[in-house]
Amino acid sequence: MADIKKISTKIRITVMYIIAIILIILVPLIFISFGSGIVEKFGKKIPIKEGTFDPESGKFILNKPTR
Amino acid sequence: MAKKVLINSHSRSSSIFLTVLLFLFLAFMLLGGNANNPRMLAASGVYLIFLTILTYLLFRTGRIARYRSIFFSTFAIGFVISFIPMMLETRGNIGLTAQDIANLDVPLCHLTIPMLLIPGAVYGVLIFPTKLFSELGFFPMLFLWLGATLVLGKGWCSWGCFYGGLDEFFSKLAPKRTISSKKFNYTWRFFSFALLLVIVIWAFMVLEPVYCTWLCPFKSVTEYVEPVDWLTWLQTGIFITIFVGLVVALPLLMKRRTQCGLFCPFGAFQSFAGLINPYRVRLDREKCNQCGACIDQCPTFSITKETLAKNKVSIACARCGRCMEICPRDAIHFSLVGVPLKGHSKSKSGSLFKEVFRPDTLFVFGALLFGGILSNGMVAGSLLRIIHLIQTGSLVFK
Repeated sequence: MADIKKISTKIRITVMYIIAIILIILVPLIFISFGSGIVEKFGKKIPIKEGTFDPESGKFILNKPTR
Repeated sequence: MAKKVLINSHSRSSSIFLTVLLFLFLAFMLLGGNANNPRMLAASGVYLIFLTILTYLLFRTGRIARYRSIFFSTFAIGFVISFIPMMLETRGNIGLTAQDIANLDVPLCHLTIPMLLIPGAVYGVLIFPTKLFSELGFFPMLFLWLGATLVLGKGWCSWGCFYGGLDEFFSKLAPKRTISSKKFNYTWRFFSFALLLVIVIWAFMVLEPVYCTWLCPFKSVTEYVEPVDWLTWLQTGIFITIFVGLVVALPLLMKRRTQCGLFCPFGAFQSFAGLINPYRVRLDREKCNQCGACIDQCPTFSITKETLAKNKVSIACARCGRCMEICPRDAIHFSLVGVPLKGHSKSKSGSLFKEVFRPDTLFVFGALLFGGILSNGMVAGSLLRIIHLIQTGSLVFK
């Protein structure tokens, strides 16, 4: 039982350090992706459109998305 | 008396290894992205040297808060110097007009995110439409925020936010505290959470980013609604009052980041969102003797008598590293969820491998990399603008 606990702790620690390294590698990838078109693809998949404003009253128009 | 070796310090060889590695990452990102622009390439080169020196000193000495503070303040000042001229170049004004709003010529920042979520989920519409810097509007900011939340968590507020550095800068200017922490009522630290709740509900009810319209102190250093009537004058007055009070005066008097710790609703939002990041700041029960030095020094009011008694820091902790620098018993650490605190060693006892694979090293490395890349455009741009100012008398390029 003690051995299993020891091994599971070691695995958990290893996994956490792997995640930490992946997060570091992710940083340049995040910034590179801005110029790669991924953000555009990602943005189009989200079912949220941008609202717009009435040019005369300046009021926000909820039902006339521009995108 | 020998100088105390700080818990987050590294041996010379580890510091050089980490600095060279970060230099290579940053050189690839900072210089590679500006290969077609020789002036920007040169300015980025200067900034790269600055970041490299800072990185070495940070790892070698373990003074995370000190060197982060220099980086963070530089970022914020670079942002202010670059942003206003950039608005003048792109839109022609910094006083927002009704026409600008109708044309969607409005810059958007991360502070709007909490207000956009509920209307977005319920109506499928973004209540802050913008096309000023990108045809993609809000999505680049959303993508950046998601990345930052994964990599930094709440650490965004100390390593990535281009506004937070202004608080930081003013909190470092005065040599001594004028308002003592002992008189401070720590209940105020819940104010930002209450404000978050209010603006999220208010924005959903009126379908307007109300924080930007009424409360954002950083309108004072970015763009503002052109004051044309009593309402817009009132808004401008509120922006300036909050800026002067919370970003300049109180940080100067208390030597703490009052806007970030007590007011910013995005910071409160990030306290929850940031929990997906695996890094935490933890107290070692066996070492802590409840002396309270960290309570007195925490810039964002994240450690109180109550949290310390439970050997915890609050979720509002912005990972600035200040408590680790001042703890006399080395009881506060960066840690990874699920990794025990035991084995967190000082530089003298660790091998290169052990020193590199420490939670504090990995977090700070990622944070410096993220902050360095994010800040380059603004800081390097501000260097060019200062040279332009000296040559022509104007910060605006065209």
